[in-house]
Amino acid sequence: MIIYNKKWLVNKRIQIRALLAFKIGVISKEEKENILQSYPVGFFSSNFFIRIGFGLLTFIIILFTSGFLGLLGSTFSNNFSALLLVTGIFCYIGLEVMVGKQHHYCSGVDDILLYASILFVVNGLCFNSSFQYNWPNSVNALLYFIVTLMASLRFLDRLTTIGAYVSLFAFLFFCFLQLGTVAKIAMPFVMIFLSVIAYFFSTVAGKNEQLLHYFDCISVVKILSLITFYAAGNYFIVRELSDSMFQLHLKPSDGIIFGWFFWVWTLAVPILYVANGIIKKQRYFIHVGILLFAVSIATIRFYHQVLPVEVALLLGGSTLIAIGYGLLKYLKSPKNNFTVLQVSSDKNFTNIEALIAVSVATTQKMPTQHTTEFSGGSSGGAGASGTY
Amino acid sequence: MSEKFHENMPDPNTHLLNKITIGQKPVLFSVYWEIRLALYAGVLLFTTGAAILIYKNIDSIGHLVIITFIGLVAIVCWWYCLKNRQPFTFQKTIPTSILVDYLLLLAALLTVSFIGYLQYQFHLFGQTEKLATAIPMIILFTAAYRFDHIGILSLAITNLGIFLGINVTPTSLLKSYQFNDELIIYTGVLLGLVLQLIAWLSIKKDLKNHFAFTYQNFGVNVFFISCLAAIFHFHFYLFWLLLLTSAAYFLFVKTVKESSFYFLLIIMLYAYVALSFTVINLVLKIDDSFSVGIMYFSFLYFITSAIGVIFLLIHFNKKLKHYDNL
Repeated sequence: MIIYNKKWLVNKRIQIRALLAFKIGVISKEEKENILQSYPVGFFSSNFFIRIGFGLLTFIIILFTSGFLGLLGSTFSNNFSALLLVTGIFCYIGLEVMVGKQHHYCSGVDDILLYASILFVVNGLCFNSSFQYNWPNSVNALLYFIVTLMASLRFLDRLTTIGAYVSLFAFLFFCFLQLGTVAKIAMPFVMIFLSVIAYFFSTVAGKNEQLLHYFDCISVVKILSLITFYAAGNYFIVRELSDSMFQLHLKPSDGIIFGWFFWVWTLAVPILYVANGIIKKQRYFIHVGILLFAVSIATIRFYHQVLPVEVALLLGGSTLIAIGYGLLKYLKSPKNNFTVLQVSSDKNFTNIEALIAVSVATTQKMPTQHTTEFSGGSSGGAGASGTY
Repeated sequence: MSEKFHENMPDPNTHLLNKITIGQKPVLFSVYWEIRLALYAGVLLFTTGAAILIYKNIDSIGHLVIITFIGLVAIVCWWYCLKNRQPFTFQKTIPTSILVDYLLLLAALLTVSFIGYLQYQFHLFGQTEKLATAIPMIILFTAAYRFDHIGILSLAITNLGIFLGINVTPTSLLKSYQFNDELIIYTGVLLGLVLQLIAWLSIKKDLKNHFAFTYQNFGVNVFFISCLAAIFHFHFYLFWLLLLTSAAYFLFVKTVKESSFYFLLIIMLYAYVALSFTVINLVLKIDDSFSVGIMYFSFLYFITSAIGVIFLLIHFNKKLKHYDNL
């Protein structure tokens, strides 16, 4: 199923860990070199900037190849979806060659080829030549879901995982729509229920060692489930989506059924996320919670313009600076294992020394850590180094 | 996950694997980046709010109160930063706390708005804009060197560009089509060269060594975009093309020596844009009928040249990997 060399994938994880461990001074330079040599990785991966360059150039190639194909035959100029399909298949063949034979892995070439082949193939299937959908919405969503799911399973890509998750929810949404009025009223609760299922699925799957290679994708699903759990009950989304989807023609002053419930939901869920993140020390809960809190503020401001925008900005800015200042002062010496010290940085040696000293002192009373902390934080190579 | 490693690989390195997995159990939960982000977002929101507040009340009765308030906040921030300053050196200094970094940014941004307002309302610095843009620039450069702050340095360089009459923030460089003016093109080329020179001097004389990247970044971008603008603008652009290619070659060799992936990429992309423009321009000069043959040729040119650049990049990516750097 997975196109990559699995041994290399495991070795890559080990190498990332080793580099991190070397950075925070757990292992010596010889030990690091020893690990890097014992667990070789044969992928061709590129530096972040080179990756962007590869992406741009690959995009140019795909663009002009499709244009070239369009010029070649009159069949293509008349049949747009055929052109899309053929270009998509070309991209996919290129992808298989680049990844299978040239061992590209997150090099920029493979990323763009993957996304382009998905977009071209799916849109070739969904659109006809006069740019209208061939099928009803639910079938389109299902097509998107099948293709992105297959791509995620084969290429372990996080963006395609997002696509698969969103299209699955869209598919289920359009299916429930068919069931009539009761289903429409119950829709937010159905979506909340589905998010809960997705969360528990990802929690269970994230502990299964058999799925080691999918851990990044699984943590994406977990974060998305938190977001959809909130979004399904967000007042703005429920009101505006039901307005446009079910042709309610609401006036600005009109409320919706269970309006109070959705307001409570909008305000409470982000706060509960942050609280849970602080208690359980799970970073993604805190981040998602803060992000959604900002969304909640935007939601409130959309319906009730309490303050003029500049006053709101000034107040918000002062509050954020005050929070930052307060935390800096409060956590100067670590409290409840929270610290303002920068963990795992090679720049500030004094910080690390202080940190190690504190860690040693606090290890004895530390409860066992959740393994989810790892899978939540270590999203790929770039994510792993920043989070600890 | 550590158990998994052991199952898969019963080998002599087990104790090392143990070490790296156990060593990374996060005992402490660091909120360092969260606090930085909160402070940064706070500064941005506050300055945006202040700017809108000034703009909305510019001719109303309350504007003096508002402007006094903003001036006072700026003064308090400057005072705090001065109180918590490190002794001056030409080396990199570590700020006493994260807070100083962001209050300095707030102070600088508010000061720029404050001076801009004074000039707009009272023409405090004369009728021309020169002095009104020079003063914030001088303040920003002084603050950048005194407090060792790269963010302020970027602001100062942007202000230098405004002082010279061009907008050098990366996005506005690409967005605005202000390069029809020939004077601006010459200024841009010159500014780019001067900034590169300063970058070179910073390293050579060891004066704030770590500022070199910022200078060079602005310098390279301003220089190449001005050259490209010249190529697009002038009818006979051979001189500008030669200038661009020779500069690109010189910088490329330098970049490979310093193994900087970022500059490698942008230099290559600028050179590629110049080359593609020249090729298509020449082809259209020979035959400007947009016939099918011309179309085929240009499409094939883009496909093959992009593949060529990719192979070149792959080559240098492997070469530079040996000394993995930014």
